Amino acid sequence: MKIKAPLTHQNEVQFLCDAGADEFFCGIEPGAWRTQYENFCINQRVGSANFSKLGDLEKAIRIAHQNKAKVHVTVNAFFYLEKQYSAAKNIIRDALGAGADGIIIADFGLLSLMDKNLLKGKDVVAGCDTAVFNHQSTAFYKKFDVTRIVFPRAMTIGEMEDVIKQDGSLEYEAFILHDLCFFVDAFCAYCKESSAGIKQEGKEKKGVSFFAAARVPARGFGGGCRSRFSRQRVYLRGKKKSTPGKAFTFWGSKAALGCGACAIYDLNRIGVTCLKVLDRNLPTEEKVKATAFIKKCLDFLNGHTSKQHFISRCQALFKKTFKVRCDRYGCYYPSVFRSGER
Amino acid sequence: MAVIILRYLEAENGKVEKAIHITNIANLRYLQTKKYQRVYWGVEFCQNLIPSLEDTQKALELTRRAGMGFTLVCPFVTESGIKRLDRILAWLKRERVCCEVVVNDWGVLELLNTDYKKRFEIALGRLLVRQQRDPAMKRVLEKQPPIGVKGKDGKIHIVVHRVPAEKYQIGVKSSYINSRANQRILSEFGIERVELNNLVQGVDLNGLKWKKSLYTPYVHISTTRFCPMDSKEQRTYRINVCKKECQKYYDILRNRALPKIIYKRGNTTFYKNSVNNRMALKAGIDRIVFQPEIPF
Repeated sequence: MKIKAPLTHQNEVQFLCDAGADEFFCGIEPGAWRTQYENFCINQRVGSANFSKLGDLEKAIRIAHQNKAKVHVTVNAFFYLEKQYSAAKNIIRDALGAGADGIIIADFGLLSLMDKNLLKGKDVVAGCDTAVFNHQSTAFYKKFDVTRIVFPRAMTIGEMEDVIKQDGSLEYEAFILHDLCFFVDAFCAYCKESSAGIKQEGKEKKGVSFFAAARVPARGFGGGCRSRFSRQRVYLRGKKKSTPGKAFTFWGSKAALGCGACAIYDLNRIGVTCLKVLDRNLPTEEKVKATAFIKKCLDFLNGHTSKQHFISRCQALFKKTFKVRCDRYGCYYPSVFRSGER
Repeated sequence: MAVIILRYLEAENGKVEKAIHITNIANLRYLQTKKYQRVYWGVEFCQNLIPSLEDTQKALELTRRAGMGFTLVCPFVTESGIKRLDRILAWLKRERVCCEVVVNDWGVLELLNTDYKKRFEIALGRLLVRQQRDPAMKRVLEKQPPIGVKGKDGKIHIVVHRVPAEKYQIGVKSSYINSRANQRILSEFGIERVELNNLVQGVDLNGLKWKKSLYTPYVHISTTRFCPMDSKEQRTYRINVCKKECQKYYDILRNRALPKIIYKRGNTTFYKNSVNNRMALKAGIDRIVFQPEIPF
């Protein structure tokens, strides 16, 4: 199994390779794109989470290749405006020309416009935003020459196994650490940058800031699953209503950060080939820590170990690495702990 | 076997076809055969609530007798859900029922193109159309007065709203289906109609050659598989812990920052934005789909 690590700067590559990364995913958003297409991202992250210069990306790819690691470039906005397609195609062409080993997409329209010769021998990864929950969806995406599928976050091990059993010709990737989203990425109005988040423009001057959104930057509301609401419950029988004002968040008392290390035993068994560590916005030291943690968990698989023993070792390592006990609340694949669950 | 063709009233020139979305047998009580010309049967967002074949047969029979059109609505599905849908589709094929199918899953679209080629008219569902559904979008596009916000440092910061550029304003009314590349591909896969949310910021219908349905009054915001998260067991295991709580209650969520109330039923959140029939017809919408309850 390979480990895929997030990358935002060429200086990170060697550290992440030393920590155990076999692949990288990154984005490139040239300044011209941002200037021309204000607030429309080329992928699901904005600003400092992307390379802004092709030269920097090229350097990063060179270092990765020296360490025998692959680099995939994300071009996975849900869709692009008509005029953006040619710019997006050029960005992909340049990234592949700089040595990138593949692209991650969500819009098959963009894929259909690409020169097929450009993608020959490259990985074409259908990102989690393509919402592949069944084998018929993999068959759909294979028609666009996709070579790898990233499973959505909200799948059980059994559901992934059902898909892989039906079609073993593709590579399969699963999320493993950080950034556990509440909603299905492909079906969320707040998915990362695709919603109009409050974007501060420029530096604050004399206590005045400019924002490209009208949402009051009040505490407790950033859009999406981490927002705080006041809830009123309406019962359908008898049309009884509770008193409004009960505090509510989608996650309950605390947001789940996301770790699927205990599921690596089963993910390996069912044929998942790549584990994706998130996210690109984290500082380098956190990315390195996360990658090293997953690498050590993978090392536990070597030799004959039982699933229970593997899980115990992962949980002990989690506590040692992140200084917090695993309480299963932030588990990516809690079905691992349920007997009879698929 | 006689071919069963559902006769339904075509939308007359200058009139919009009215459809009603019925999600289960109990909700047939909302059906008014004189007011509506079509029934949308099924669910968009949750495979746990796919109607049984027996209920589908009853709904179809009722629709046929009333001379109404019939549209089967399918949610996104895992392997188990696609088997349940396949059972219904296989029966419709055996009975030679010509009807519409709304797809919210690429796998279901693939299934219709392989096992049921040219058997059904296919509509692209709201989950796959991928519009910009943030309920705060209207405030983003309209000039707002400056406000003072107390920061974590205790100081008051003045926040001035800058209205986004015109490209952005047009872009947030667009969706996946506005691009020519996607239109070509989707047409090759047999898409003849698209199902649309009535967004608070408006919808860009330019260049859309398909037939168009507009849903009222519920615009879907986000969908999850982690439902409902009420008990400790549900918060821990999240998936496949459903006891169909959505059939017992729904939640109204409020936040001062939002101009709209959010309705949460089961695994999906919504806001309300009703359709003006006259404006819809003028814009090229040929069907309005009325949802009498918060959908699921």
